[in-house]
Amino acid sequence: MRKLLQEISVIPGVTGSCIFDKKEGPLCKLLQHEFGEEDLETVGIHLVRLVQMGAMAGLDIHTSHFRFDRYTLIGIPLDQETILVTICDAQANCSLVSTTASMLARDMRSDLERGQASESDQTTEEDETFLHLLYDEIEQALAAAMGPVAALVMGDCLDRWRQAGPAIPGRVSELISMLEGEIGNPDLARAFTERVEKLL
Amino acid sequence: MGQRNDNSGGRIGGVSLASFLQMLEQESKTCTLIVESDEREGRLFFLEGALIDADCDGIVGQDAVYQLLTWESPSFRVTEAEDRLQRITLPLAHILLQAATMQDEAGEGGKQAQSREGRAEEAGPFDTPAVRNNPALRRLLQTIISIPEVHHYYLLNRQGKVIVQSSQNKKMADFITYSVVSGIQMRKALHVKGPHRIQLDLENGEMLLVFPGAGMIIGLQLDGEASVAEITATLRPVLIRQSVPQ
Repeated sequence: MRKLLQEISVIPGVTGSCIFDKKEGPLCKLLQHEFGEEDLETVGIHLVRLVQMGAMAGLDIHTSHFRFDRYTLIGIPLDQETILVTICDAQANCSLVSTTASMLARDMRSDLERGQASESDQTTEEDETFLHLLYDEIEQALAAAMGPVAALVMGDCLDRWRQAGPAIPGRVSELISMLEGEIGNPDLARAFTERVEKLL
Repeated sequence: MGQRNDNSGGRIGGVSLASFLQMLEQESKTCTLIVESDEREGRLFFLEGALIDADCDGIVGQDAVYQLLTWESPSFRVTEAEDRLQRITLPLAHILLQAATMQDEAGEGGKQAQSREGRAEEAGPFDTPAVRNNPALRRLLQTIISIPEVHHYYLLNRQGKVIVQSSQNKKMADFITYSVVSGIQMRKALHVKGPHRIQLDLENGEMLLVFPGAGMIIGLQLDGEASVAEITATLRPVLIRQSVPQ
């Protein structure tokens, strides 16, 4: 990501650029002049909110330019809550900066998507230990509702659940729904869900 | 005025353009009429039977209507209405009469009538009290409407209240005000002056240009190909010492 920002920063007149996320703050920055963290936060938040406000008015913003006396700010949305902010001085060729930044924004979006996907799909060793303990508890709760067939049903459901996505704690609720659907008696199904929810 | 006598491909033939315009007026139609002749295309915009704007060959408004009425063997078709800036305020009958006079003068070998007489401004945006009683605002509005790339305009006071706007989009004024407020917040963070201008390029190919002036906020919805420098230069003389009702 930093390499992409460097490609923007080499354009004459560009003072700096930053990828700003509404929740995380600056994800990556390359600024020649030292802007305070709080100042950068103010700029980033307003540019992200402007995009969101535009969507409410039926406007899909591709690029925003704010021309001040000493700087021009260029904001290019990367996703709903993340924006590429480029700060140029008054003499910069803003059209060139904007075109270059738009082109690189595509690569940044890909990088962000890859980063988010790998981050959410990763299972830590801690998670795995937790999940194995949880499977045992769930199977016991299922046995109370279904009897001896519980182990077989649990195995089948676990296979289907793993095929549908990564085995992570965030997806356990999907597994529980699948198991609940396998219990024919509604009262027993409810009892199973209540018992399992206490574990989570 | 000749016309093509086929109705193929949804096109209407056998009726003169002037007659068809009068029919749309009588039927109180809200639609866009596309006129084609010799690989050229023009559009006429109707709102509840009133002809509000036209464009062809890079010309807009009344001049575009006069131009379209001179096209030979035109064919036309009706399409969906557009939310369109009102550039034409004269009644259709008046425009057709004026067009006929201009064509007669041209036919007599005289020079093409350049007169744009009867450009009544008693209707449409000029009819609002804020504009009627403010010559500076009238001049500004006339200048904005004369820019072919302008799709819509929004003139707001510093509190974000609409003085006059051409679009039916009621949310746009709030958004324009919000963009100015955001600019002011960013100004404080960057320790600079301004913003002098806010430009938003939209995914649909349009551009929203905002001038946060001292007297009022001007928002222009423009063709994406419009030159910001040229539009700024066109507006600069009329933006000086604007007096606007609060």
